[in-house]
Amino acid sequence: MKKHSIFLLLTLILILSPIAVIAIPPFPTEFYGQVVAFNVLAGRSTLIEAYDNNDVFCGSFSVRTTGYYGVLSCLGDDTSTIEDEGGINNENITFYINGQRASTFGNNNWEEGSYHYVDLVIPFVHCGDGFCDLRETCLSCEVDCGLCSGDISGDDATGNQTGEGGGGSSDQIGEGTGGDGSSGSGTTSSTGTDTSGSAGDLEGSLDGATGAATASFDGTGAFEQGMYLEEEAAKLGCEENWNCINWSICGSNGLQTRDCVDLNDCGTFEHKPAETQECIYISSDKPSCYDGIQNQGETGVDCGGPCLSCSDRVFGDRIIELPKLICKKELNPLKNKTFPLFLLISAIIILKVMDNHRKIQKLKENKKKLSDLKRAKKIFRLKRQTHLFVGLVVLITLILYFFYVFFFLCEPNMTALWILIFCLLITPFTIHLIIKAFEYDDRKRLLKQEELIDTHYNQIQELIRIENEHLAEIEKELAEKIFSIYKDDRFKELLVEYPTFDALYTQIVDLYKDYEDKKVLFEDEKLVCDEIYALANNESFKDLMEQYPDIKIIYNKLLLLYEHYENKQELYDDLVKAENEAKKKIVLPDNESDESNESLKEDDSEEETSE
Amino acid sequence: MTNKKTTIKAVTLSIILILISVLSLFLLEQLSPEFFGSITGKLITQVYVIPAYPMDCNVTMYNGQNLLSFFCIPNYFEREQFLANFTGYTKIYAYRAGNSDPWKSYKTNMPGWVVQDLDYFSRTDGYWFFMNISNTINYFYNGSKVSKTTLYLKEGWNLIGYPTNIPQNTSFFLNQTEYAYEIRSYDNENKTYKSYVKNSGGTLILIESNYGYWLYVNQSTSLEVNW
Repeated sequence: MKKHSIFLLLTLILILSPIAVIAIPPFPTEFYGQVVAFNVLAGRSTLIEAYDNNDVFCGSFSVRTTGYYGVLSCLGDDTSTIEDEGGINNENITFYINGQRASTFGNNNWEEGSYHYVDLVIPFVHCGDGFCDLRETCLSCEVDCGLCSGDISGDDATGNQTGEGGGGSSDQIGEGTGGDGSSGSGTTSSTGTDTSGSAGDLEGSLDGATGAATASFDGTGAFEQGMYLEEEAAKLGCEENWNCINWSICGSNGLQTRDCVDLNDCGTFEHKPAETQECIYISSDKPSCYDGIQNQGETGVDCGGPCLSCSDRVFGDRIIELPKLICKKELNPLKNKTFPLFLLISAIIILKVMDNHRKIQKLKENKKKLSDLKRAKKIFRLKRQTHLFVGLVVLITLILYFFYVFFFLCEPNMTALWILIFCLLITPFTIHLIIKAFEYDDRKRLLKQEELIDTHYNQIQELIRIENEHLAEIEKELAEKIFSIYKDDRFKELLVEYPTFDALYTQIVDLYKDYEDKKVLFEDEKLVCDEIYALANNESFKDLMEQYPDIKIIYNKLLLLYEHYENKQELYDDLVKAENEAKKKIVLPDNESDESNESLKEDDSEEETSE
Repeated sequence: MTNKKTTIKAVTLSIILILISVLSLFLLEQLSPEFFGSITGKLITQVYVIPAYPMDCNVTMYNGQNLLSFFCIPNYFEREQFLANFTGYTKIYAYRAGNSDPWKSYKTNMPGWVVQDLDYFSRTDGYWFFMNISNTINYFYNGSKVSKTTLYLKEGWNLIGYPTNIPQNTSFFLNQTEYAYEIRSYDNENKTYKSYVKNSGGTLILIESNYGYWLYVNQSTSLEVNW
């Protein structure tokens, strides 16, 4: 059962712990009243401290008006915590005057949100302490206050005196004189007057004296007494003479304070100056033109140097309050009202890009039926124009924007000025680079041409090589054929009859040998061609070919050879032409290149005008 | 090759030019700030004068205790001047956290020598008004509108005012600071508390003008309330 209870309790704690309620601070109890120290009204700066039953400090007050304190806020206990932070309802509050425990006269109970009038007296009041304290009279304590004068002596007074004396002795002497005490009481009650009643109250208080806070004193009466004193001071014509110390440094809450003291100590506050005022809080780690200090190279307090000149601030005898600088540099175009400018610039750029794109598309479709070169040139020019336009517009906009931000928006911001300078300096360089990147460069064209020529030249050379191989094969075949018929006796007579044929054979054999050795002999080939040509025009050789089919085969082969020779010759001509072109274009002096560029530009402009 | 050299030359020249320009401007600023100011532009002070505009600065108070705040007043407003328009109150409390004596109070009909430490009113503070009648009071202060107010909060409970007449969602209000834990207000008419615990919720769903609020923060911080 016990285990179950503990378990339930723990579960309850666990459930409730996340939603633990933090109590709001309770209203304090405000105490106020008179302060008397050693029979004299307590002076200014006398420290009054309040403690609860557990000696926990709950509030303090430094006397500002001689003889009076309050309001002294005695804080309450936070009931949601175990610790004792202050008073709880009906708890007796103990007061100390400059560290010395005081007697209290009035309701010194802690009561949330209440105002209690409590008079405080040190040393701790008891009849016979040598002081005629605040609540002691000749009637209540003859030992301390002395005998009452004749004015108040009478039947009642006498009776009271007697009674009081009895009471007093009862307290002081104790049990042995108890009978006197009862007689005293009897006398008091028999008189039945106000004075005796008061004395009786006090007596009761002293009986319980040990308890300083018994409900013996009538607080209203003391309050009336306070009011009386104030009125009395006013009646005497006391003139307030307030003396204030300098204002404190402005706090982060925008307020500064000072203490003011009435040198005449009138106890009235009609002409008391303000002790708190509004101010501008300036963080101490950053000097400014509004901190009330001559710093950061100022020639006067908050003027000169980086601030406004001192002459501007002074008007006659008066220093003009500077307006607060609330202008703030805002780089974000959405916030500094330049957004429409950026919107406009963006729109212009988009329109231009779209227009040029449309033109390029038209050119690509070749509706104007231009040559490839001209079309390519026009497209290139349009692209260059677009890039240049975008680059320039963006750069100029940025420069204008930074110029506006730095020089027109509040004061110039020197720390970031370098950005503007950088932009200004980089602009021409950037423009130059853009132009260069998209410029029609003749050098590039020439280099491409060189590449092409080289390729062409190499191709011709390759063709010649192939042709040579081919020729070598044909010549070999021819030589073998001629050699075979050489052995035939019938042809020996023919060779004698046709010496050209014999010479031709010799030349072909030589040429073949040369081809085998990779020699190029244009002149020899030319001679062979001439021989073949001569044979072709010889009528008797034609008859011979009719008689001997072998000769005809040889002849046909010779014709084929002739044809190849001719092709080869053409290739050689091309090769020479390519060589000449390469020699002419590759070594192009600078001036010539510029001139060609100029001429190209002229061409472009002419085309544009014609368009 | 020549082209590359030209580019390098241009880049080097540009960098040198930039350095020289920045250095010369820096020197000029140091040597003759006034002349520098004359060529680069002068201090322009822009003061936005926002005209005072009328608004509803009425507050309704009920018999008994009322937790209030006043958004139509500045950060500092003399007690006597402020209370001139008020009637029916017996005592007033403010709680300025962070002081050894956080409770500031004012009670009517006290002797002249009593130092009443609630000597000013602020739109950033919340106030407990103890009334012996119910009434509506106009406390219009002929000042200018402020764009924002900073509330300086101390660790623990803070009795704050709500310095604007634009209501705010409680969770949004609390989420402005990571240290806020709980906020409470007081229904002056029905004499009951309403509360909202961050990340848990509660009955207080709207932060409104004219109400004072108990705000609990785990660590000292500040909170900005925009108008």
